[in-house]
Amino acid sequence: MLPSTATARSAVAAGRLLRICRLFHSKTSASSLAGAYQTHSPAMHDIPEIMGDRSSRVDINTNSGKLVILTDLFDRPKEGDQEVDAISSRNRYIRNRNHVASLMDALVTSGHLKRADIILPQAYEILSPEEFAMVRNDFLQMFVKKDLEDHKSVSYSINWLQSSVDRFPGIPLDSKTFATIIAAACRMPDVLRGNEYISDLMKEYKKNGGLAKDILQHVELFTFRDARRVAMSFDVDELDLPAEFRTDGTRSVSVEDAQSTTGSVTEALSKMQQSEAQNILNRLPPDVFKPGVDSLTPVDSHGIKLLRSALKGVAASKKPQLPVYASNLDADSSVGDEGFLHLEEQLSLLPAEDQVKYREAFESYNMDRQLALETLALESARGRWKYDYEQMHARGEVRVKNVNHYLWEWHTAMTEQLQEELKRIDLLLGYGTEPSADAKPRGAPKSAVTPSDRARMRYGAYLKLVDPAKLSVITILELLKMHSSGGGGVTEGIRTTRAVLNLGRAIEMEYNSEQLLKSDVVQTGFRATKSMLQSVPEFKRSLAVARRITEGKNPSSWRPEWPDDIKAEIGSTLISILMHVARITVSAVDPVTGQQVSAIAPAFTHTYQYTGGLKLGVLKLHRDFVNKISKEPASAMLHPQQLPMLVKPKPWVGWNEGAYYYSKTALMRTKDSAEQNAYIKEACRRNDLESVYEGLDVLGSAAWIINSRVFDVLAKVWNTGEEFLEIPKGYEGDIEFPPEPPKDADPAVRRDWARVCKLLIHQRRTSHSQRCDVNYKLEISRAFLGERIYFPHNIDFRGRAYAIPPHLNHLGNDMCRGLLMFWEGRPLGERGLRWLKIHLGNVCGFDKADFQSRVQYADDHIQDIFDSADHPLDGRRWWMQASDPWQCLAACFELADALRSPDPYAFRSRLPVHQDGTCNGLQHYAALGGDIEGARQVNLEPGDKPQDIYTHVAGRVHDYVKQDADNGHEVAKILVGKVSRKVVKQSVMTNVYGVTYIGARAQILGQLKDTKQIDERDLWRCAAYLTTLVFKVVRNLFTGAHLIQDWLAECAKRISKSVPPTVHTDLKPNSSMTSVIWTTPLGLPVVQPYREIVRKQVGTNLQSVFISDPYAIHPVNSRKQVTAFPPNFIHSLDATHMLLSALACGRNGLTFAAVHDSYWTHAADIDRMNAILRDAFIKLHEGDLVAKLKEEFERRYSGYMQFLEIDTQSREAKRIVEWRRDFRARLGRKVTVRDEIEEENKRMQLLNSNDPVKRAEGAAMVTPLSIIGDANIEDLKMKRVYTTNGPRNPVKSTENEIGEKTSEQIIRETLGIPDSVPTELQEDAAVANDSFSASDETILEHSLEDDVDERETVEDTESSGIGSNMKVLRLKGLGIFYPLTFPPVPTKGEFDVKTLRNSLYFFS
Amino acid sequence: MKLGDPGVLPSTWRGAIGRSHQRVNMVNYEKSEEIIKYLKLKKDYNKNFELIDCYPGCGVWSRALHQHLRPKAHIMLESVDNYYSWNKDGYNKDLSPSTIIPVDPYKWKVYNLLERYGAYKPEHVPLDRVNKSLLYTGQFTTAQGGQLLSQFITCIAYRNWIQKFGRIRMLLWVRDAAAFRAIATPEEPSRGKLSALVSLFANVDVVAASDASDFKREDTKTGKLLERTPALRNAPIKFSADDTYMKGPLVLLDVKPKEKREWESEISAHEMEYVLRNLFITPKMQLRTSINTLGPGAGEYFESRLGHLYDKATHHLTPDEFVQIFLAFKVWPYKPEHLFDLGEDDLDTRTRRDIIQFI
Repeated sequence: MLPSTATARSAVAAGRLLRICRLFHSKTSASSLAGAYQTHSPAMHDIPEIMGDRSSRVDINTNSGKLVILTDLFDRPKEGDQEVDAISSRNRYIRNRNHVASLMDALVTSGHLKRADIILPQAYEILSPEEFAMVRNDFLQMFVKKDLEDHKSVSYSINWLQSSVDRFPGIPLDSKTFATIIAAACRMPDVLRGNEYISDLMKEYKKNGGLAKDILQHVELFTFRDARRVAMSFDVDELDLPAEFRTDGTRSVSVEDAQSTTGSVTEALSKMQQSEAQNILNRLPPDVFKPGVDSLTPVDSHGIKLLRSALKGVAASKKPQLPVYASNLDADSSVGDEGFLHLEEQLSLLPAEDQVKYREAFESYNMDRQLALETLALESARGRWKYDYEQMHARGEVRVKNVNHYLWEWHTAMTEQLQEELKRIDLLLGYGTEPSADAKPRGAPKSAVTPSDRARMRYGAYLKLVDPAKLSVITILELLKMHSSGGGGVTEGIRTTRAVLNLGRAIEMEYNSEQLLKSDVVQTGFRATKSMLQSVPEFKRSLAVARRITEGKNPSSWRPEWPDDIKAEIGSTLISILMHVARITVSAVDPVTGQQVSAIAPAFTHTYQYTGGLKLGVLKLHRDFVNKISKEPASAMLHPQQLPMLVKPKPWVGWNEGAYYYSKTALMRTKDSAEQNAYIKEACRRNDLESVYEGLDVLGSAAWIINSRVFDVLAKVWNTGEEFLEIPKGYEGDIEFPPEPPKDADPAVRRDWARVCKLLIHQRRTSHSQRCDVNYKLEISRAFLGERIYFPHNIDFRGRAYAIPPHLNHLGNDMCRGLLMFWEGRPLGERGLRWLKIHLGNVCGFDKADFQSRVQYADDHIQDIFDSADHPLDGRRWWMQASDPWQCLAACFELADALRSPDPYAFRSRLPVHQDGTCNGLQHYAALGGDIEGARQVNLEPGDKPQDIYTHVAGRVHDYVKQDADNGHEVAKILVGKVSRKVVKQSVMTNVYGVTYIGARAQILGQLKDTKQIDERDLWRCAAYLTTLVFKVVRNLFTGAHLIQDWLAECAKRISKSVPPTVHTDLKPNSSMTSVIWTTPLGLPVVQPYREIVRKQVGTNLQSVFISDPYAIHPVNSRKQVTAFPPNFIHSLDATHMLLSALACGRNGLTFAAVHDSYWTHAADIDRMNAILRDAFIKLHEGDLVAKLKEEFERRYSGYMQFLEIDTQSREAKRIVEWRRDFRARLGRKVTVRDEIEEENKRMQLLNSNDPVKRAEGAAMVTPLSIIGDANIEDLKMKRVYTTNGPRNPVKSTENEIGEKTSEQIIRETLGIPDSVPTELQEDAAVANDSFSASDETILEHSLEDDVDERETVEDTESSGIGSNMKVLRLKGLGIFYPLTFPPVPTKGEFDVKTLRNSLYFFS
Repeated sequence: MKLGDPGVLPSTWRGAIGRSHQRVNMVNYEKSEEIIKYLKLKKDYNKNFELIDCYPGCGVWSRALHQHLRPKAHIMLESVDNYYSWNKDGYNKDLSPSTIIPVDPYKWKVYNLLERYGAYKPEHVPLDRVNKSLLYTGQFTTAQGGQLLSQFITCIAYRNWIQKFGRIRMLLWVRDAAAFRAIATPEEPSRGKLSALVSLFANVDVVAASDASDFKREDTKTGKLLERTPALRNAPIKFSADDTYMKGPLVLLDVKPKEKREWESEISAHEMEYVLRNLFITPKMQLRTSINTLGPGAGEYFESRLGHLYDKATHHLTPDEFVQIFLAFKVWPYKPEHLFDLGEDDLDTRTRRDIIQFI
């Protein structure tokens, strides 16, 4: 009955598969999925063993080696949810495994065992036996605990267990089940009775073939003494005991101590952890969120003092010690802003031995604070509010409340309400279990249970998982965060759907990280990770070991994801409560009396608004409160989740294992796509992603520090409230609207007035939200002043890396970049100084010249640089004119320091110096296509000076224009001399990323408009003409690249229109089911997530919300799959290039950071990095990537059938129609796609059989494919018919742009008004310049029937005919399924990528 | 036989005029005459008046009006090429006096220009009686017709646009969906901002409607057949799909602006628009709830003033009750900073698509 070791192991493996299957909650697919791996994955020896391979060689030729191919992702029972059917009679709202598992988890964890017992039978029906066994054991563990508390016995538990065997047949009692009860029996006060139970249980267990020693493997259940007692009673060999229970001294002292208290090792450890955490909590606010409410002036941090004292301690006693917080350490105010950096610099004065000790102390101190940051920062926000509240009350200043004051009031009120709510939930969850409730006769009035109570029964257990005080803090912070970061498409407020889901997610995250803290951490040991950090492989090994241990023993570490509708309900419940209690005092002038009046108003309102014709629920924050937020410092509003880290991020080891220590972070940012998740998990499982992990680890291990001097300047500027560079002005008071026109004013006048007012509102909001954003960034910078910080990274679905902390990171704008520099300083050296100067030139926008000129540029401006560094605000402000002013300022500081230091070459520089790819997308294209001329223009070929592709294209285009003008082309004549670099730049850049003709024309139109050199009426014609030329020139330059672009699009088109060989659902004949999937050279599977979204409605307290259903099968968005594939493929390559460079830099000891195609390192290391990144690019492009892609496609989509339309008039089509008629008659019903494909499969199977009889039978079969036989499919395909577009309708089109007549001209002509009568415009100009006058007719006259969009989509879909006026008429053909094949790879040009090794300006 | 004569099916017109948009036109001349006679238009409008005629389209309705009433000026505004030429050089070539101008009557500006250049010169008539010097008609039969109708009614509230001359009667052809919304009574589910506006400012009658059996409509959500409102079912004049060009459900509304009442000068039309727009976002909710769409704290503030209405569903409110709400709103000190509808230009395209996908 009990699993042997071997079967246990396979059960674990199956469990893993199950977890993948669970995603698709298919009851059937565990084995079929496993089968799929075997049939489609390559033989084991093909997969390179790279685990533990630390050589500098990165295997990037694994395209064909490491393919994750998952089939049957959407395999579900045809008739919808059997699961629902099975349980619908009892409990309609439990829909899937995830739901029942997470509900059980919530009920058990929150101690609602009676309710859980009711749900158990449903769990039994829905979950797999393995899953159910886990759930049952979790339940039992709580049940036993309760039994022991209530009855001082385990008799009830044993009874329950016995009955469960009958209730749930087929679920074996395993060692954990017995261990749970035995461990509890050990704790019975009645020792004799306990012994009887233990012996009975053990007998029962052994009877089923179990071994006593297995019981004791569940370390987390037993105390040392109890384990010994069991071991003694049943003669368990000392060697068979886990290390924890041996008497040979391997146990740690703390565990021994822990045993003196009652409870298990786990509990004791977690208690210890908690008290330690409490200590950290007490000192957290001053450490991380620094005081100084009224100004941004940085206040020296206690942390620095602590470390300083620690440093002293190290030096004095030579004994490392953990810094201990002491509140009276404030006397030492001499510590500057440099913080820990300052200490780091003084380190060299210490003996080497002490340096090591200092470093250990520093790491340990930071690790503790990191723990506190991740797990306890919520408390700190609360502490901050409370502190402010109390301070204000102490000072008696409660008349005008500040933000924190309000937040504290809301928080306390909300916590109270929540406690009430939780009581109600307890009552309900208990109520439902009373026998009387079940015994009620059918149809009896259920007066006590209201609809809201029923809702409580759904989400109640989940809400109980997190402490009410925490719930309240998270709710407040999450709403404020969403408010500041844009509400999902509405300018005023937050979309309710977004708000409730995000909040639900945040609560789930908090619960998970609490659980993580309790279980995982205690078992693997927090202290252990600290030391393991020093060595990544070491860390990974021990983590793997720890996981292997826990996987068998602690299955509860698997946390099922909460269903979205539950999250929505939780979110809305919390928001409703907050809305109910959050009040603010508002004042206004009474319109009747003219008196100032004040009242209490809700801070949040839930309302609806029409947006784009759709009714949206919106949460709005009262404007008086919004005004407060934008004025006060944001420190207490900072959301603690996902801040920069104080220690190196946890190395990546799995799809959600890495980055932060106590919250799960996903390796890949996916779009709720089950398919993407399945692939990434599978790739992780197979260890395919080691190189990606390592690359991200390198990015994450770059240590940064806030540039305090830049920060000082920013803080000064910020505090003035004035506009400065990108920081908008801080507005006070209401917007001054222009006076409302008289009531009977013309509708057009009213409309124009409304437009101006809306514009003012919009401007105010934009500048307000920008200021909020800057406020957040500055506040985070301030909190981390003087700290060594890290940015953990993850990737998007194409593999591009991003820093996880959202507000402040080096991928941010110029201001963020200016605020950051490397923690570590490196001596410049001669080359470094030169690179520093070049960097200065680059950030000034002087980046087109050769290096020598850039150096010269810096030398020429040396006085400006010094002035900027010495007097950033009160000097000449030269730095402000730079294209990246804040980075320029940082560079000025650095250069000035270096040049003024006694030995500039020895100056330890921290400034990151950038090397940017010149039009990186085209660089990859040129390398793929082997285009020599293109390669030269994007600096793949060595050259004396940097080439500029935009100037080059502009020149070429201009040549054509001149030529055409000479030949009398009207439009060309207008454009001679007016084609600048700027006009073409945007569309050349976006050309790589698949911009359509329409899109490019709009870009060029905009640019031409900006030049103001061309008459408005000619603009449109000019733009259309120029766009054609730009496309032509780019295409000529990158011939090979464009052939590849076309090839990629064609492949994507075929793939998205194809179906897998096994179709389990009935499809519409032309529905597209297949995503384009490929593997990057680093082994990352990329799945394009573009599918049609199907949403379901969920009713919540606030409103009903629509949420997407991740389990439903959605057809792909074929158009998006096709248009997005070429650019996504290129992005996956540039991501690979970056990660390869990161890997190599990391292995060579360089600090490396990247913003996609801009690579950063220390000035001194630029030369090395340059060599590395060139090598990486060559390595990447040496092989034929496109050929490999084709190979992959052929393997991945082998057996797929592509939907084609063939000419209905062809002989074959007619025969197929006939065949279908026969087939229908044969089946006696309608023929589905599935029938047809199955028929075809049958034929193929027979044909491939070894049995000649079967082969003959196959050959005799007739199917559409056999009918087509050897006929050339290209000839049969439906031909496209091209027609020209009809003439543009003169009246409807936007008039001025194409030089049509205005309404006024038409009316004048029709009515025969003589020219002597002035037009409206002339008259207006003569009278006055009224700001509302209708000067621009194209804007003010909007026409009802605007058919422009429609026409554009037609052209857009078929953008191949560049610049043509052709319209494609699609004629319907006969749809058939034909084996999916791919066109041959276009031939590559002559360019040899190796030559770029010597190209200076490739990245510069 | 001539086009428009009885017995000539509109389907044969297609070749002559060409297909255009979703505009549905009345093309039965006899029916048109019947309607004009039923309305007794000749009593009020006989020769000494000006006719503004928007989107004449196939021109049959325009022709019938012209022939019967003989306006002293007949201005046709037709922006679509083929309709323009069809009227100008063909079917309505002989109407005199008449002017057809290829401009779009959807643009407010057009009316200003026409006035400016003297195309029509109506009298200003006090608001206690109907202004019989100008008649406005049009076939606003695209999907956006309802929106336009709503704006025309708003113009009555503001007494601007052509309504500045006095109470100008309007004969408007619209689709049935727009008609539903315009004439819905407080009891009907299609009651909304438009019908509330209508009941406040105009008497609107359904004069003619296409036969219900020709155009069965399903509710997009439930799939049930929609029951037409009694006003449409009981239209005095019925016609069939064959009487229309580009077959579609058509309704002719006779819009007669109400005379000015005292409260009108008390309220700001801008605030009135705001209140109606917001309340009708959630028409089926009780005023207790929907009042909160007026601004934060509205529910509590108005309780003492409007509490007696709080149990009513918003769409059940009568015109008088709306006036009470307007008057209360007027003196609310905490009304929002601005009353503009930012929603419309709010969404970036991506989010819009995202949202549209689930509707």
